[in-house]
Amino acid sequence: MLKNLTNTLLLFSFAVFCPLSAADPSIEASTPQVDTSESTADAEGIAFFESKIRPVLIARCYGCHSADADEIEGGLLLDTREGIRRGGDVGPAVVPRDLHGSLLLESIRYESLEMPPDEQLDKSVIDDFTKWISMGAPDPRDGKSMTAPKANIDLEKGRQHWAYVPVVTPDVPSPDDAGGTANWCRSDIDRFILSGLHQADLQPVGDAGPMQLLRRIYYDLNGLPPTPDQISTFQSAYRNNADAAIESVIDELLASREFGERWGRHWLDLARYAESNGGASNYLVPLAPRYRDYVISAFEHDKPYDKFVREQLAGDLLPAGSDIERNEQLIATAFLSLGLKDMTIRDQHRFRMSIAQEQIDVFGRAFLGQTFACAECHDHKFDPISTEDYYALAGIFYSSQPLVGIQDKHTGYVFELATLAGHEAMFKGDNYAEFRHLQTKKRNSYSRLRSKKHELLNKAGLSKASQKEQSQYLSSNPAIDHLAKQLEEATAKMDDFYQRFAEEIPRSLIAIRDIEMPTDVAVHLRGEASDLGEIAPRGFPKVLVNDATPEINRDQSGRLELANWIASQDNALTARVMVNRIWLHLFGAGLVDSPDNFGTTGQPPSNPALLDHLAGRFVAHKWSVKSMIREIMLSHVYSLDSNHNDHAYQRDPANRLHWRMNRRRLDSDSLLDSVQLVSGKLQRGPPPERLAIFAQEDQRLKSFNISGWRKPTQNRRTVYQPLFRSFVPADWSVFDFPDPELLRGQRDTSTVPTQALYFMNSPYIVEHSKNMAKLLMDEAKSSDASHLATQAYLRVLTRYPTQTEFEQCREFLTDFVADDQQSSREQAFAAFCQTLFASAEFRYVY
Amino acid sequence: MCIENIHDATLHLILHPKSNMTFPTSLYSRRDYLRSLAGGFGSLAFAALASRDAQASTALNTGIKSASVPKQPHFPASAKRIIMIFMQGGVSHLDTFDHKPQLQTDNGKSSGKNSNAKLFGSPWKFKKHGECGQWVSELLPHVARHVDDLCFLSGMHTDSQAHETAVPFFHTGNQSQLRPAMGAWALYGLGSECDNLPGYIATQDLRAFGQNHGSAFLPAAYQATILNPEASNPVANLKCPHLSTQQQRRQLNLLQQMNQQRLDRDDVNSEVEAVIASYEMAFRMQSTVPDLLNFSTESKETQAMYGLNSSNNKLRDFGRQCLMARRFAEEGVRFIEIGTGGWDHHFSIAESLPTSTSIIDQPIAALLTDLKQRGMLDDTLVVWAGEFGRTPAAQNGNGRDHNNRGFTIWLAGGGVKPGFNHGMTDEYGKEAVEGRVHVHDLHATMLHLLGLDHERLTYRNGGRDYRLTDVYGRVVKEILA
Repeated sequence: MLKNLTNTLLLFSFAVFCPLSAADPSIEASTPQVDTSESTADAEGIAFFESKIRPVLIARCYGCHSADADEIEGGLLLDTREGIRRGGDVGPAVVPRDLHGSLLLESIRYESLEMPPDEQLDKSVIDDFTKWISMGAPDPRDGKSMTAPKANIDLEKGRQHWAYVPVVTPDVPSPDDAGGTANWCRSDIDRFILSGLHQADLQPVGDAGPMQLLRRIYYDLNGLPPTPDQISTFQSAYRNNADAAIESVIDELLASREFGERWGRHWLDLARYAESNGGASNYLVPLAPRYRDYVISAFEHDKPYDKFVREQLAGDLLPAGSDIERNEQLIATAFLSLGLKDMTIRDQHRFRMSIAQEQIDVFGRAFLGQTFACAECHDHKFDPISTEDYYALAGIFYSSQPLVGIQDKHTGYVFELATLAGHEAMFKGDNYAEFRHLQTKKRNSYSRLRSKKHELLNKAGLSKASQKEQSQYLSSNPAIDHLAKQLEEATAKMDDFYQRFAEEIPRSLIAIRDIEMPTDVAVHLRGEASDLGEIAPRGFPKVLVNDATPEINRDQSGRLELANWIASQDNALTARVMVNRIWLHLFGAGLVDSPDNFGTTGQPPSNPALLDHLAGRFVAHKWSVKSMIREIMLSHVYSLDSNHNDHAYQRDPANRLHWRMNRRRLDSDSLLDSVQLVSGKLQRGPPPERLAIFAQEDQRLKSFNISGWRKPTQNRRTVYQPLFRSFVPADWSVFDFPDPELLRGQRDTSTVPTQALYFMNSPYIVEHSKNMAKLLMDEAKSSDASHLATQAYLRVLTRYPTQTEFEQCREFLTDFVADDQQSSREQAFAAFCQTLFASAEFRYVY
Repeated sequence: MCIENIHDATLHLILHPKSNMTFPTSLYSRRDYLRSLAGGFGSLAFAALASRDAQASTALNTGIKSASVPKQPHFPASAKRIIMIFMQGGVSHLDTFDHKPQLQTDNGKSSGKNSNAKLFGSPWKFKKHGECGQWVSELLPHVARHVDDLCFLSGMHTDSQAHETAVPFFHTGNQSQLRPAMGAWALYGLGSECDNLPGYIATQDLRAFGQNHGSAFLPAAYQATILNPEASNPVANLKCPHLSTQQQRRQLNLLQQMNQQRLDRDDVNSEVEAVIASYEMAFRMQSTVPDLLNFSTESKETQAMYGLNSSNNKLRDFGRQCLMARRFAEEGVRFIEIGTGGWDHHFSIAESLPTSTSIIDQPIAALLTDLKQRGMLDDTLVVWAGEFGRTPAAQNGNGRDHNNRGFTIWLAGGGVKPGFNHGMTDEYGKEAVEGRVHVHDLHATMLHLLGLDHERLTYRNGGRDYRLTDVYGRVVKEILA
């Protein structure tokens, strides 16, 4: 029973515990001050302790709260006077004569924590404790309590974790590549895979057919199926030289704009990209799409990943060769600024800390697969990351200011925007002061006018009169006229400000910058801003640093060094995490099955040597994502069939060792984009930049009518369509599009009836099925079932129908019309096309 | 019940020398079973049922399974399902259930040194009702007749005093960061008992206040299905807009034929099986949902009781929500949230509050009566609440402002003490002073009644175990029957 509580207490210590704030500051956890004179003073009190209190502590509490306990719960030791008064993770257990400040009392009364957990103490015993604390908690138990049961982090041991060990290029195994699998290996990747399979007594299945492979390649690289023309080009090339045909289609797609859109979208999931702040103050962030376009372009043009990392973390601090480069580097830093900000926090320090926390969480998981956020309130329970490490990172982000352009009456901190190179800055702190001033003036004018009106109407006994009567009465009043004029002027000034705001927007960017006086922050004990420990000098988690780690320039935030530390081959995590993400998007599962968590609570790699081999290759290819993808796609393991094999399935049902290709469900983007492509409606490429600025005082999303905003981009790929937090289109979320508040390296792939309803009845599917039927029938100038079936199968499923399927189609078209003589052949064919969209085969990549 | 079973939502089997290699053997028997069926549309439903009944603990790695297979609670539950009646805006406890004679006595006096606002006694008469003697104002005569079935929490408090933060706090336990809604947690913990309806349904779109019905980091299958009983499509895409029933049936037959052919080719493919089952369920939903919303099958008395014939449109619509809630509860839907907005009475409360209470009074009473006479109140927990209460001091002279420091909600059925009151506010009803219950405590208690330990119902995300109650929450044992 007590063991079951472990989890609870771990969780308990994660966050701020409110009752603490009432605690006597003289008994702060960091500076225990125990009045020793008490120990000898009151013999009667001691006797009371010995007879009533100590036996209970021993019998009911020491099991988990003494130096001898197997595992000390909640960091609380009750076996010495010092320990009981210092308390545990959540504060002093006993504060003499303070019944409210004594957490122990609250706990045994079952008012907060319920202790002891198995059974509450008798009421008389609780009364004894109350009395004892009222007496001043006399306690003869001298002696040092074990200092904070804070487990010292063993860095040396920590560094042994597989993900922290430097990447050492492993020897390529030479599996017995004979027998049934002669010359199976096409590359080193295959040697690692085959060797892994052999160790588990497994053999790979056969190869995917050419059309199956073609469809797979198209979805993986472009997120779209091939068109009939593309299919036939491939087919003729394949007949000439199969390997060359595959290689050339891969190269062609890697070079396409659609590749940038597809792989950019993967990254945007990690960047929790959205165009509004989300949460309680869901402010519009109209410049966000510039970051989206930066990401798409980075993948399209194969920006080296180390550069990509560096730009997103410290683009503002990097030297630039040109204005264009400067702008690109600036917009990249929006990665750090796009997170959800809790605008309800009034306290500036806490507000800034909350932003830093979000940034630590996101950069840690996206680039390093590290869950640093766990160390905010206490040393990481599982990974060798201390709170000092956490606050050393926090100082870096605390010394940086996001420039987001959000006008909130409390948080000027995120009001500003970066300015394109070569332009005069407009969104400055001064403007915020001006904005606040104008806003206050306008509001005051308004309320003065309103109260004057009330006053006059009340005097005249017209407060309940009709509006017409009221305005008539007020119309010729000089005082009202005067106030109305004031309001008019204030409004005009505000409008003028917004006009300037709007004109400046095209020259502005979301970004981040160093604050003027970069600073370290202190450890926040238990994450509490009001309870500060030692200053944690800005730096990186100790377990992850080595001789090559750069020193932080104290005059800057440290983001530049952070960026360089991450974007380095000396960082054991960066390349591993990224190649695993690439693998994940090509196979449906990473070699490490927890792509955002490479810590000890994550999953170990299924093939560690392969992971390191890939990491090494990635760096050797100068961090080229495209080269990495290409190398993986040209392996034999990528071209395997996805079919079943009893023997292998029983040994490795989750296919961790890659005895076959995984079947993967199309994600929402691929699915919706494909339907539009096949129906002939998809407009390729990016939409014109949408920088309409919504110059109004209230920038919260709810004050805009956003329903029409999708229309201008509705025929573009979903990556280009507006995306607001809390308002993810239902069409997307039904297919597991992730909530953009949260970083998500791997999407869910649920199968639920609401998806089925979507395929059966949604306007989107119905409309595009009609479009497709019309397109095909117009093109073919024929309504011959075999011809139509062939075209439809080719476009939707990238294959030819079988004889049975021809017949099914023919029969369906006939019967459908027979069911209802009003139906046209085109309607019948549209219903058939819809069936193909709805089919499991379309919804999966095989 | 151990927590590991709950994590089967994403079942990852890793080949590891030290682990016992497991594989879902039931796949095979299930596949054979599928093959033995005559085939054709409709028959697969049995397969889904069969696997459900077999409590397929080797649940397939798909959402439909994880969401639809019922799971064992941590300990015996007293409630099988929850109907939550959410009053968005914040109901004035001072004018409904929290009787404050002192406030009426001191009406018009200053409310404090630093405030111009004056104390504002309730303009309505209060009377004691039932054997329990609970005070109820004259605004809620129908609900007043049920006080002996209700369990009042009169010492509620919550963190936030703005709608935008208090509404998500009430639904997710967090005011600003995205977290799963309590219905999603309930479904995650217990699964669904329905084969033809989603397990978590909500009628109000509260997205203006953030994500109140989402699954956040829980698998997407646990999010609420928004159901609008008044819309032509009560559930998104429920109605077939373009085909006759016969044609759609023909289309679905073709579709399932294609899927079956694919399954045959794949030999073993749990995903295709799940797709097939999802079409079965969707097809059934097309008729079950409209059937459940077709109230003409209810007796005239029942319809009248819920106010379905009322000339007050809003009362009628809310009555339909309440009746719908009962019918969905009967079908085994795990978590049903209904409600109305418009409780934000900053102005002229004397005129505006009666409008609001007149909408809900009769239908809620009807729901309680109906659940009770069908014996469903025993295992259905009804929760009536707003996101906070309102101030004893007047705002704008005749309204009340938000008050997060003290307010009243009530629960009924599902294992709470009937005719019971827990907690109280101070003499003016400003702040909870005794039997204080925080929204985290309410969440812990609701989960407890469902048989779930709020400290053990965890989900790991980003290296951390998350709970509905964060690191807080205390089961309010005082109210457990």
